[in-house]
Amino acid sequence: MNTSQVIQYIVSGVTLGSVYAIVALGFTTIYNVTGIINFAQGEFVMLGGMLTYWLLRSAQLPIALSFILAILMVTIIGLLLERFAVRPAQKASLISLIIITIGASTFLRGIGGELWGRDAVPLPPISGEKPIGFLSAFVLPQHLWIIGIMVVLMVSLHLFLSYTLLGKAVRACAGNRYAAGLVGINVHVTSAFAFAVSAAFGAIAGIIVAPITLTSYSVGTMLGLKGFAAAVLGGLTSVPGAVLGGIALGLLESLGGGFVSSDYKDAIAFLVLFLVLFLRPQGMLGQRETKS
Amino acid sequence: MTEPILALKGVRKAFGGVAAVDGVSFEVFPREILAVIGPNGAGKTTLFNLITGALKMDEGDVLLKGHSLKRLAPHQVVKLGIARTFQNVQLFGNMTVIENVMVGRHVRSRTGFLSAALSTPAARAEERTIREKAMESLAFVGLQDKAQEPALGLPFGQQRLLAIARALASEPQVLLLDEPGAGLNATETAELGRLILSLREMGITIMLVEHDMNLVMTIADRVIVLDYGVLIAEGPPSLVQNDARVIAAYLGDDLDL
Amino acid sequence: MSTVTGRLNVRYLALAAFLVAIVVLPLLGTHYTSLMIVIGIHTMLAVGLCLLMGFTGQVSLGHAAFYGIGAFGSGILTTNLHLSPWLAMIVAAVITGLIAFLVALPIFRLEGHYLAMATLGFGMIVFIFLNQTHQLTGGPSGLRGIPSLSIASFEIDTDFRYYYLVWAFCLLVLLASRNIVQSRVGRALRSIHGSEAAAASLGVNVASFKVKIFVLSAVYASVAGSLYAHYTTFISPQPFGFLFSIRLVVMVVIGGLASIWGAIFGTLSVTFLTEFLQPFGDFDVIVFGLILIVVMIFMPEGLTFGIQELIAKRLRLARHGGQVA
Repeated sequence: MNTSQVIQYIVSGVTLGSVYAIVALGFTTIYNVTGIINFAQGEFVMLGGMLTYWLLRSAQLPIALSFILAILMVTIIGLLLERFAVRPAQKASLISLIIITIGASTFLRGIGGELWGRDAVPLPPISGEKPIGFLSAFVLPQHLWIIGIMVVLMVSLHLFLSYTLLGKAVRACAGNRYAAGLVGINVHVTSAFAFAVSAAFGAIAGIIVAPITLTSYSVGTMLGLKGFAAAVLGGLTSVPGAVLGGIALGLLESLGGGFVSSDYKDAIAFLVLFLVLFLRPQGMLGQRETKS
Repeated sequence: MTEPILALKGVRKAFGGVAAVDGVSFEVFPREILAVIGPNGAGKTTLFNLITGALKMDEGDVLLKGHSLKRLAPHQVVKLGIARTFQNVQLFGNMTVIENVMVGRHVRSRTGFLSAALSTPAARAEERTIREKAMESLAFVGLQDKAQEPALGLPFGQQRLLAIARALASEPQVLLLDEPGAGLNATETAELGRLILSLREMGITIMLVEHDMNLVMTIADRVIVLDYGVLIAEGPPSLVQNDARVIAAYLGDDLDL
Repeated sequence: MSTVTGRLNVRYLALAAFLVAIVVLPLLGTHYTSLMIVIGIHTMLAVGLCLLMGFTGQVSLGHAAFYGIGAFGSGILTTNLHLSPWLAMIVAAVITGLIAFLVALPIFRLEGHYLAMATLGFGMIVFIFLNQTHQLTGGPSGLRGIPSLSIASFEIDTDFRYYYLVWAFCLLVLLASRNIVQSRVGRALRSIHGSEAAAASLGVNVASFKVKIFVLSAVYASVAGSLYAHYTTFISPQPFGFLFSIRLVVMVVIGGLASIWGAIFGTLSVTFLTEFLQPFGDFDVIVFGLILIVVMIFMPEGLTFGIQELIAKRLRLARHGGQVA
């Protein structure tokens, strides 16, 4: 095993992990504010990539505009999802809510398939494809962008939650939804906001990873599940946990895939999920949740 | 000197550093009606949960006729003869009145997956027995005419009676009633009192958590008082009523004396 | 009183009509025969999932895994180990049951979302395994040359014969499940769904029942998988993934979460919807997603129950001249 290989694995692990982290942040945000696991999170990722591709190719819009517009469109979809699929089911049982978000995921995925077919398509990288030497391995500029954007998103979210009024409202809902409502916080607005943020984050993740892994109508399922595994690994109730979990999962997948077996690489995320659920359900940084 | 049917020894249960039940010891004698009273949050329902095995105690033990219940799962405790009702009733909303009571017969019947799937003669015979016994329990509380109705369609007072019939169907030696009188009017409460007394006539020992002091004074043989998880008084109702510590514990709290 | 017996009569009539239709169908033509074979197999899967979801309220998003284990179990045991197909079916069912048991034990310590996710993760792991263990399963290109079933020297190798075999199995499964539901066991299961705390307080061993019903539904799925393998004589991992697990959930949601016979209706609906929407591509998936959302919001007990409720309400309104009783 030579060092440059290991470093290469680490680089791709951290990069992929950053994508998982962004998706995981989406799961964590919605879960903290509404107590729901949004199975459709992965579809936001898919839509981000696919909408950008469509805006670029079919509508012939310039790159920056395509990115921004795509993110906006997915955010609106997220808001629509919250308003029409989640909010009407407020009083529903857990099993109903799970099935509803699964239905949303299936629906969005199906629409994606109908609109854009099954082919995998690439997106242009943000700043070219010339590899940069790093230690004894090569890093693509896109890798750096992914990691950088992840850090920016994480810091922004943290600052937002700590220092703005809406952010505090979000944290209040996360602590105790009922009480938050009682003290005058508009629970519906914070809920919608959580979905908007998750959708936007998901879309961004989809856009920045597509240049490397391509995108298609079906990427949402796997990315969503792995993002969820990352969120559980880090602790569903913890924002820094989502990032930690994402990076950790990315590294585990990359190193595991490289040294143990590349065939079963995809299974690593689910094995991790299993292990965490059984051994330490609150994840690395999460709080132990009591039954209500 | 009668042997106690139920004995609690130094039972302790804490939640995150706060003791909900702290070193509680007392005995319950066969066929007595023991009332557990105390201000809200005193640990009374937690005590019931510990006895039935729904919660695991941190320290101490509870013995049924000398037999330790500490390590038993809730369904095993029921098999030995302790049944309970809930503060918030907890009926099976997806079933009829009679079906609710038939679940009470679960622990006294044996049909398993295979016999049920094959609908063996034994399974069908047992099903008939279950239904008969369930009707008996239902008749005991006077609800036999409502057997086929959806359980949640009953008026609240009757829902409470149904819960008692359901627990009764499991043929308990000890019956734990958690605030059976809550939400009942004066007539219903009097009926409840009579019902509990007739349960005692059947040989069942009753423990009840109650806030309705009239009910407690009327039917309880003995009363124990909990405050902040600690047993602060024990004795016949009249004595406890006048106990200084008890009055102090209730000061500032609702007391329907 | 007359409405109760009236309703009962309608039920029995419908059932009788259905049974007659089942028996007579293959005599009417071959196109629908093969479709109905698949529907019969899927109904067995749906019934198992229905018992799990409707009666105990536990979600399983990885049920296709058990279907796949049964199919590949039978496939591998008959092609590689040359076991008799019937024996292979039993062995595969036992293996599936064991796996379900081992998975259920830790899984049921989880609640709600975590439980659903764990089943999803399990389904994924099995799917990846089936795809990757090439020597055993043939990988993504699959396993071929699976022998057909036979009784003594009577080979069941035509659609016509297979149809009756599958539906015999299916009706047996439906009957057994109905018996379970109407028994002490069924009541215990429903009580768990109604209130776990109250069920436990009445002596129902909640954990044990959850595990048992999970295993039972897995065994149903395994047998269905075996029947599938012997029917198509070639299987690949493709039909045993996440998407099929979701399809099963749609069948149960349409048929009614707590309705055994509804499982048939759910399976029929989903299969015919797919057939009908074929020319439009993957449109059926879009419709299913919408159905899941809409039905769970407005009729959480399932579509058939929701419709029954609506009809009953209308009848009540009509009878009371516009005043709700």
